[in-house]
Amino acid sequence: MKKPRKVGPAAPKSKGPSAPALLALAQGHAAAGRWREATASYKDLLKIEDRPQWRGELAAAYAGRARELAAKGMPKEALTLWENRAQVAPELPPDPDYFTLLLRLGQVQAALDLLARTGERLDAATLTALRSHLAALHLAAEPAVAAGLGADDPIRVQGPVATAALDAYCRGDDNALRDALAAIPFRSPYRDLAQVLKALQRAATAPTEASALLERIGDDSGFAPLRRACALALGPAQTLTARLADAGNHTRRFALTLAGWGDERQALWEETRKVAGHGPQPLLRLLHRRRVLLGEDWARRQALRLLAPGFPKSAALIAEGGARRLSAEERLLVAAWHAEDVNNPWEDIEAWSAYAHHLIQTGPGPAGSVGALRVALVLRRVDDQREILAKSAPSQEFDASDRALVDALTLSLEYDPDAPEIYERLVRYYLRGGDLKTARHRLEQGLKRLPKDVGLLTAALDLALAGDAFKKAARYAREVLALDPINTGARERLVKAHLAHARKQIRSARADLARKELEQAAAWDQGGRWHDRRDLLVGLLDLTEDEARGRAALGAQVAALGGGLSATLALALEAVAIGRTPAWALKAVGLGKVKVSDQADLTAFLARLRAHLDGGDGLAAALRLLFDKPLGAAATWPLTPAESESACDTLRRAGLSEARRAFAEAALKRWPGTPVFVLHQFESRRTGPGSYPNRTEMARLEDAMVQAQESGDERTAHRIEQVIMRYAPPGLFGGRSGGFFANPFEDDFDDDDDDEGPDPRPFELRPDDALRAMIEIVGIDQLLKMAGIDAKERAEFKQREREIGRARMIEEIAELMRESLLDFGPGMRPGPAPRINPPKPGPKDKRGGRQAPAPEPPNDDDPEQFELF
Amino acid sequence: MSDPYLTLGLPPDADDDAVHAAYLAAVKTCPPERDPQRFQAIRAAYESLRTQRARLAQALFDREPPSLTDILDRADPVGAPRRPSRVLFDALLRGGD
Repeated sequence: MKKPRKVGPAAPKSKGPSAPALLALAQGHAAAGRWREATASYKDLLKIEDRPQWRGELAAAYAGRARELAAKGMPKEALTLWENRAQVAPELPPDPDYFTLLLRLGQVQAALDLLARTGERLDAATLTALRSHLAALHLAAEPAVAAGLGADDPIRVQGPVATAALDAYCRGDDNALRDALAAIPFRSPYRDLAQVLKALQRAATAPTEASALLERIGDDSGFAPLRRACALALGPAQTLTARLADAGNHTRRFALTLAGWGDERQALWEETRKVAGHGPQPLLRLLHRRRVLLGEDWARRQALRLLAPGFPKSAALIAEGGARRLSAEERLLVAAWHAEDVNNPWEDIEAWSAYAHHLIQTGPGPAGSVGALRVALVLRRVDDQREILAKSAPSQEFDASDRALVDALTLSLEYDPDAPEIYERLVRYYLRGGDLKTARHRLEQGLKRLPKDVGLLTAALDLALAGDAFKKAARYAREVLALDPINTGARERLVKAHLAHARKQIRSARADLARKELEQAAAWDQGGRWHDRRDLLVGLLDLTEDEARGRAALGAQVAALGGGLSATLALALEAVAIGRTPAWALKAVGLGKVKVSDQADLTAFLARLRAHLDGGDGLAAALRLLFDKPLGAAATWPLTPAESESACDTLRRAGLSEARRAFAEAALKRWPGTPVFVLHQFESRRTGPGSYPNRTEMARLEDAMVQAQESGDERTAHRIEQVIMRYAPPGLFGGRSGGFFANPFEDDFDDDDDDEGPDPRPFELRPDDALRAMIEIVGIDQLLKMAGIDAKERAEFKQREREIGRARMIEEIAELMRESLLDFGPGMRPGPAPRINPPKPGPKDKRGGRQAPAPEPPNDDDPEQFELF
Repeated sequence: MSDPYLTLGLPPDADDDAVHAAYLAAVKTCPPERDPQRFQAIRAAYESLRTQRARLAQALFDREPPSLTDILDRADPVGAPRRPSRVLFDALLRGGD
């Protein structure tokens, strides 16, 4: 039903805007490039008053709108507006764009008429540019140009020679081209064509010169499209297609041809560029469609690679693209490729194992054949990629991933037994775990097939050294050097082996044998790198046999080493190595009081200590007791920040905590708050199981981490973060006033409270409640992460949680924590995160294994008190 | 270009000698001082095909999807620069794009 119209008095006719208002509106539109609105406003304005200035502005608005429409691909509509412009302001010179639009629309005669009518109003440069358009059209055999120009017009007169030049270029006749170009006058309407052709002649040999020639052609020239196509072709080949992304069809084809693209390649690119970036399906279709051109096998293999990222869902795409479905082998291979993107070695191991077993079932052929080699490579793939065995020792857990990899590598040797690196990898893996018997077994297998392999012989040398079989080690070293005389590593190992054997003989009171070993060491130590140690051992050996001779020899040697703390270290290290106390040796040479003589001595001591630690040996407890305190006295010497940091780091490695703390604190006095020294100070204070950090220390550490991050010192920030994680979560056991939910690092007591002892305040929250509250806040996974549980084990916890539910999982974690902590009660202090073992896997879960860490060096941290004399 | 066979212009059944010869030819036409990036690509391609073991590993483990350039190079490798036809010149002279 129609709504009744309201009846009332007629509204008064509204008065339109005033001329000034309209003018302002029109000018505003024009300034903003809103040409359609601008033309409408100017037309309204001219209805009020016809002023020449406003006509001129309307003409400008028409021109703007015409260019806008031409750019949108509406040339006819644009032409109408140019005509409007000419009508509204006939006194204005013709716009070049109007002229070129007429030519583009094929209205050559109209363009010529326009030029004849209004050409005298144009400046010379514009006229030249417009005539170059006519020249280009004439060259392209547009008959209307010749018909509209006089016979003596230069465009017609010089047309034949320009045509000759172009034809000569196209057919590759460079002599004819050169002659024709020479005949084109400088002021010819074909001058820009000459520049283009000269540039093309130079493109291959002098691209920079060619580019310079092209740059002489203006954008308003009739030859500008040619120039653009040439310039696009001249750039780097790698970015050619990117440069052509917005180019038109003719420009693309022109540039691609210049760049050496054949017709087939161009056609395929036109086909593929439309499907780029739309996922694998279009490319799969293309590969299938063009498989004959590309080669059936090649196209198929590329198609499989396209499926890997989205496998197994992507498997259906290949059939949708028209190709045949995946075979069993292809499916297993793509699954293995896909598994490599998953950060779980078990996925990898299972996927490649499945593929290997498929290959085995198909009958790969005898060992060493291509098929067998393929099986071996597949079996080795995971460890080759992840380098697990190269870094780990045998795990104690039967279902650990390293064991699966060992099985795979061992099986691979049946298919490819001439792979020395695999034997070596296995030997070193067992060697790292101290399983010398299995290591020897693998070594023998390898050496049986490859007796002259330097890598295997070097592993044999290391294995012999690990078993204290020094004679055997020396024999292997000689074999290595016979094959590779400049193998400094083997030579060094051999010298070290003889020195080690000499020490062993001294310990066994076999002086004659020890001297023989020392002579052997001297013979092999051609560079004299080990002569200091050798001479010290000779002196110590003398000392055991003839005290006076020994004193003299050692005294001379210590003096040759410069005396001081560095020489003391060298002597003490050798004394300990032959089973004597440092005091025995130091007393013999009169080094009663251990002290650093000067800064050079400190530098030499630290360098010697670093070299010793780099050899893989720690510092014996007796030596730590000997040097820890005296070194602290040197901490206040004027070291640079880099020297201080280096000193702290060396002292950390040596376990010289007291000295490290002294150096860190001295550095902090000089450079307060420096993150790396805050870290060294913090760590050096953690010298025993009872040395827990208090909140002030933790807060200071967190500040240091922030400061390190802000200054871009990511390494220190990361190290501090690791330390914080080790001692977190302090809130779990903190019991601070303000409750468990307070920021664990928020300090509400005096900053000056720099108490280094444990926080004396009692807990106010029961540990189980604290744990539950913690889980509520951060979740089970984050809690486990904070407790140092790795991703794989956390996944097991997650699986367990799915099986038994969250509530029971929390109970189990609490129970595990109670078991793991010796003192999980009201007196518990913040300390290193407890080690929580993951729950036992269910019967189907066989991925519970984890890598056994590389064995710790022997703990010689004997807490006995050292007395010098 | 990710396919080493295309980089060196080799057929899929190339043996050690063919790979070595193709490598030497490629280095000759593109020495490291002229185009270091291209030389690196040639060197990497050579390393991945140098031995039968390497070629087998490449076939088994290279899972990089083909790039558009790979497909184009496989179909019709880029050749020496060519001269556009007169027809193409005329199209651009007429103001086409």
